[in-house]
Amino acid sequence: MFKTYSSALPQSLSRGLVGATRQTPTPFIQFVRGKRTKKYDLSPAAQKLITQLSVLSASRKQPKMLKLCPEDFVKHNTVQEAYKLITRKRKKAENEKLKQQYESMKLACEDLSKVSPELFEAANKREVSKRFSLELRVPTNYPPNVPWYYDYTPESPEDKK
Amino acid sequence: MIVPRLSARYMSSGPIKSSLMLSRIPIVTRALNPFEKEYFNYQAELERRLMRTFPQYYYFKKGTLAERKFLDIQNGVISKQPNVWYPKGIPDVKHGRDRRFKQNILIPGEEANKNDEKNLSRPIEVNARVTEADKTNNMSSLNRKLSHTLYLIVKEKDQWKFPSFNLESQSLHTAAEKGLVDLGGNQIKIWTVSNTPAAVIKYCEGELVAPTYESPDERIERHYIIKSHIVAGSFQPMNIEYKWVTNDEAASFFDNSYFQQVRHLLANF
Amino acid sequence: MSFGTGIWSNFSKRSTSLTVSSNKIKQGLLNAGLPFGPATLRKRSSRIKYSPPIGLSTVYPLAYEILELESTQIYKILSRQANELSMEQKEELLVRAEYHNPEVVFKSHFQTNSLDRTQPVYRRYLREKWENHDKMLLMQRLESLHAIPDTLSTLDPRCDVVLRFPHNNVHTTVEPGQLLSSNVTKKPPSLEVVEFDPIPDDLYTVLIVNPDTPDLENDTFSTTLHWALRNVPLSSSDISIDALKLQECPERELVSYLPPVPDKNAPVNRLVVWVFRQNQKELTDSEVAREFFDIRGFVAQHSLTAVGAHIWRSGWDRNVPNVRDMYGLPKGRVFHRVRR
Repeated sequence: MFKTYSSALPQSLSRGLVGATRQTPTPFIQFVRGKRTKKYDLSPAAQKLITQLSVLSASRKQPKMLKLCPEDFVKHNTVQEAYKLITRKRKKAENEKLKQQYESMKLACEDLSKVSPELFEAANKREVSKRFSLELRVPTNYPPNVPWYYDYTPESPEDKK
Repeated sequence: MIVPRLSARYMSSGPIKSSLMLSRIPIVTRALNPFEKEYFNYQAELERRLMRTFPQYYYFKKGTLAERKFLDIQNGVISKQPNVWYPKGIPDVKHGRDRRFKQNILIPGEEANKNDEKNLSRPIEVNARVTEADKTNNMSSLNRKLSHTLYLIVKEKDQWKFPSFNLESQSLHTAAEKGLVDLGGNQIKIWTVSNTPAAVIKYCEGELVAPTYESPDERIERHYIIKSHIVAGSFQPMNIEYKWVTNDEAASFFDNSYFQQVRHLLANF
Repeated sequence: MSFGTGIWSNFSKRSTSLTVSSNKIKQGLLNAGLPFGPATLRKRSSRIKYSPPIGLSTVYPLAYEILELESTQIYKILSRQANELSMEQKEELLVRAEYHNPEVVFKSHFQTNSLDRTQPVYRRYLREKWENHDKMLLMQRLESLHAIPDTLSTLDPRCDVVLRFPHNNVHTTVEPGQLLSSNVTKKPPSLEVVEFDPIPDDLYTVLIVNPDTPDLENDTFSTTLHWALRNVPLSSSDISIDALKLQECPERELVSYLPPVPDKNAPVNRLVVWVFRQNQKELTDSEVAREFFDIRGFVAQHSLTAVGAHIWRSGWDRNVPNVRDMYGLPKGRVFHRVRR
């Protein structure tokens, strides 16, 4: 917090006085807020780099290993198995549904090809550069301030021009 | 038995209609069941326990006021002293955190007024997942059941169904899109998933039959279902009853036979 | 449904070996928290300073309920279709019904010495443990010591063979491939044959062969039969073959035990234990030659199925003459670098 200055004069000036007869200057103490009192050989840039690397390094920041007693080990496994079970069941049901949807689509297409080849061709035409609509939003945990945008008016042909 | 391909192609058919399965995708995530809720809480707690110590010296420069403010509000930890017996285990304090436990970091800051719109650090207030439309059970609103997919159903001849439209020498999906605008006004924006029909529903003399049912004469009426999502706007028909329903509610509105034929097309949530 | 009301607390049809006997541990597993503290920890100080993970006590009862419900459904399937299911399917369902029962998991992990082998689920846990270490170790030793194919062509191990020698009252098991002193092997070993398959009780044949007996005339090595047992009945509750069992029925010992007495300066001898299932057929052979034993011919002749094996090695040591005296064997040969 305190720094002693050896000279009241700037060094360049005092150096200029070398040849002349010179009195020993009286040292004085100046308070500098936030100044390190310890002497560091490192430059501030190097010190900054060390701090940054220390953030990345694991030393002393790793938590202690989690040690469970046998009962809690079994309980933890039980919880994980229960989650696996319900996930597995959900995945299975989803796959089943996808299979059904595919089958029904296939059936509809086969039926359409028999009934009306023209419609079948139109229904299976390649949709080049079809993209998801940007307005379709991903579900969030809580709804937006206006859940549904009702005030929609389609663009009129004049607007496009 | 091999059916000649030609005869199949030129099979005479009855009327063809395009049926639109218009859905509103969920706005909020699905509700978790009690187990999932507790499980995610447990996992989050484990993660906190196994998280690295917060390097506060990186974020707060030493000797600054900000560091002082930060350190002042942190809950202190018991440090290890010589010749002291610790019944709950010897503390292992590194960087101001007992490494045996999770670290609770408190962030300094004054209590901001939540009504102060300009203050960015005001506490976040979340909107309710249950809306006004849920409380009044307004089934024609798109604001209801935000965590579920809603489907548009209309009443045709005293029966609830997906709306179906006649073809006028178009493709199936354009007929469905045009038919919807004709029926419910053009204040609506939809995004059709695919031109390909998702299913076929067959009627023989007004009676629902299985999709595999074949008949040589022209008595079968076919409804091809096109899937589509509503993006914005609303469905406002002039003189027809309509509802936005979830998959569970659809089961009670539809005829059982009709529901069995479309239930696999409905989303789980 | 909560703890103590579901299928996992109902012992009218289930075996009581599916529950933990210690009340403190049982209460720890059948409660959300630990009412008696971590009872399995030995030291009092570790019990005091133990802190369970946050959130576990709230999620555990829900998880238990989910898994118990699944088990209830499996037991329903078992009772409804008891006659239609094959033995393997039944075993599989019984394993699935109990595999995640916390009490069973606890016993299978921490009380492995007292597991009830008649229960399919414990057999499954034991098999997994065996397959993850002991089976691989055995196969590695059999192959690197060339017991396969020097004795039999190959082996698909179906059971764990535990070998013990009753020397010096120390009942430690022998790890496959260990080099044993002649003092250890002077008396016949006792065996445990741990079957993991759901098989009916069967008769077993045990052979101990040494493929390293020097055959000077033909300038090669020959196989000697050191011990042969036949028609040994084993079941899932009775798995051991020891001196007591053989005393009861002496005719089960086809060829009496000959301890390995290697000659001085001969290479280390491999002693391979083979365990065979007889597939319910009795072995009525009376005479088997000990020297120049043809193990492949013997197995083919009696159509035996090799299900387990073990191996140890014996070299010459200073105690070998004593063992020879004990069994009244002639003095051993001494080999030299140059044949004399």
